[in-house]
Amino acid sequence: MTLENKNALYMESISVSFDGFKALNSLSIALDSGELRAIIGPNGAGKSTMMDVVTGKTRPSSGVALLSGRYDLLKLDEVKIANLGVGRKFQKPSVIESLTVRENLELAFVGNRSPLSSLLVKLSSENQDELENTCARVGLSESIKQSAGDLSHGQKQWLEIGMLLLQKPTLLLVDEPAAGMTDTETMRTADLLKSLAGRHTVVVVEHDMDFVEALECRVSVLHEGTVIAEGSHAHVSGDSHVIEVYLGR
Amino acid sequence: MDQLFRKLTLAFVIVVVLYVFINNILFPESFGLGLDSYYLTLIGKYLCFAILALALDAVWGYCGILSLGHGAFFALGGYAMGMYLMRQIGDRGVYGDPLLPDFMVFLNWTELPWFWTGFDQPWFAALMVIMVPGLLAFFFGWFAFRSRVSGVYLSIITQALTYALMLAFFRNEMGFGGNNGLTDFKDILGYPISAESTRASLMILSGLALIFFLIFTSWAMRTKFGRVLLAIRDSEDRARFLGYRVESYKLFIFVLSATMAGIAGALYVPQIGIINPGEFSPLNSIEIVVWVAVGGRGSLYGAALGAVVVNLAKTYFTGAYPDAWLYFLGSLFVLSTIFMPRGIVGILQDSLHWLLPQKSRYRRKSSP
Ligand SMILES: Nc1ncnc2c1ncn2[C@@H]1O[C@H](COP(=O)(O)OP(=O)(O)OP(=O)(O)O)[C@@H](O)[C@H]1O
Ligand SMILES: [Mg+2]
Repeated sequence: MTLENKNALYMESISVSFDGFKALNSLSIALDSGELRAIIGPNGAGKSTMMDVVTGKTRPSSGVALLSGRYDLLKLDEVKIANLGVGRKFQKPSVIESLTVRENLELAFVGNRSPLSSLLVKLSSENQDELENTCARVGLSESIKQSAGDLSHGQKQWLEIGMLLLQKPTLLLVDEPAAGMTDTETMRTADLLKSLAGRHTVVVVEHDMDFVEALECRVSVLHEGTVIAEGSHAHVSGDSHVIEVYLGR
Repeated sequence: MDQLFRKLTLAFVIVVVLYVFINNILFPESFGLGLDSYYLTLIGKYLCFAILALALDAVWGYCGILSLGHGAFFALGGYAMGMYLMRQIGDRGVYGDPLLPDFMVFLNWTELPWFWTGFDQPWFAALMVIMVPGLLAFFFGWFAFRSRVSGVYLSIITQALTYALMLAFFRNEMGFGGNNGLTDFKDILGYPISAESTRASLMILSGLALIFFLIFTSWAMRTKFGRVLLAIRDSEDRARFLGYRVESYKLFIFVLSATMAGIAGALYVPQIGIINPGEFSPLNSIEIVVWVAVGGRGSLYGAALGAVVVNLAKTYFTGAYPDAWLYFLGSLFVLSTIFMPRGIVGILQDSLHWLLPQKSRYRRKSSP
């Protein structure tokens, strides 16, 4: 790899096609370490597909994708990428419904992931404290013993974010975190994500423009698999092309 | 609450084992309460099936791998034991050959095939009981799980696996006794195999194995390992993106389960007195699935209960209405899936809930 750079995430000319349909069309994007970045765009623009490429779920037909300027994401599988410190919240909340909130969080907690060690490990008391703090941070202390399947849609989103935090990733990919949340919950989520920036690099996909504005970060606009505008919230909301394809509708 | 039923199941098996130990082994003469060979064999058989059900529940109930070929691992364990028992016959066979089992003499073979060597040693046979099913499960799982074969496709290839093995074992040239299989056993570890005390000991051994596996599997499922399995069952992608190597976990539990099934088969064969290729029949593997479904998938003791209940029914039906058994089995499966999706365990839990409504409101979980 001749490309050397300091970007936390660097993607260049990534193309993905499904049966000839280009979900990503020569997409390029670069994130600084510790940056918070919002990604917006109409349905089907390729936002989730971009996350699929970063996490190793989908292989692009061409392009370059590097993590921390060192790791070639296109050569690694999902588990290796996850263990390099890439955490992901899915668009559709996916928590383990038959486990309790605590058990879900324990599962996410960083540590040896091999089958043999999983038979023997127990979380130390410091780690238990950390787990409970994180649980409080995502507002689920009351429900810690509850089965995750019994949580509301918004609570599941929170739980998944909590799990993401305990994974201690360097790069967080958060797909539509505010879906199903009330306005106050949405704003709390925005605050939480903002507080993560600096120590983590965070990519947030969201349709809710108030939420995106509240993030006060750089915004990339995706359309038909490519970035059509990038800049502050004010800048992209004033862009005539963005208004035409997305905001204006 | 699940804990309660699990302990009751365990207590029940312990009582049966103790009863037989006291009345058949310790004081066979004094009380006259000992069970006769028929019942000893019957109970021993149910206990082996309960272990087999436990093995399937560990992969299906906890990890979502619906194996329709678990009968194959059971049969392979049984064949390994059968080979040991054949070699124990020595020169007491019909043809009196000191080395070769009767069926080989009958086929005009002059030498013992290489894969029969070592089976005269009990320790070697015991090793093979574990290794053969374990290795088959390992290679099968290695390829299947790495290439992410799952769901119906996996079920179909497990079914094909047991079918292929059945066809192979039917062939005389394979060297496992063809369609007659292995039988006419004389003794095991020097004890006459049909003596009542041997029967009782084998039944007790099966009971102890069931107790051990019940305790072991429920412990394993309560560790983080068990949680990862549930995560894989409920949402494979989530487990993967949390950094768990899904295929390793699947392989681990699949191999463990196959060896359990093999041990069950090895305990079964000396009690029944025969192992033949019919044990590989695809239908056998499907029956195991029915036991687990009827008992209640994903609760371990429920699977064991299911195995016993369905086989009690089978013993009755095949005696009273031999032709109706398959129809009964089919209807049982359909009806239990529709009317009691959580099996006997579900009924037990609901009735307890009904009796003690204030308790365990928050424990509405689909897992232990
Ligand atoms: N596995 C797949 N097979 C075929 N087409 C796919 C697949 N995954 C995504 N697509 C298509 O690729 C396009 C981009 O999908 P993607 O999910 O990335 O959009 P998105 O920007 O996340 O949209 P939304 O806002 O609705 O979540 C869509 O047209 C979708 O139908
Ligand atoms: Mg999407």
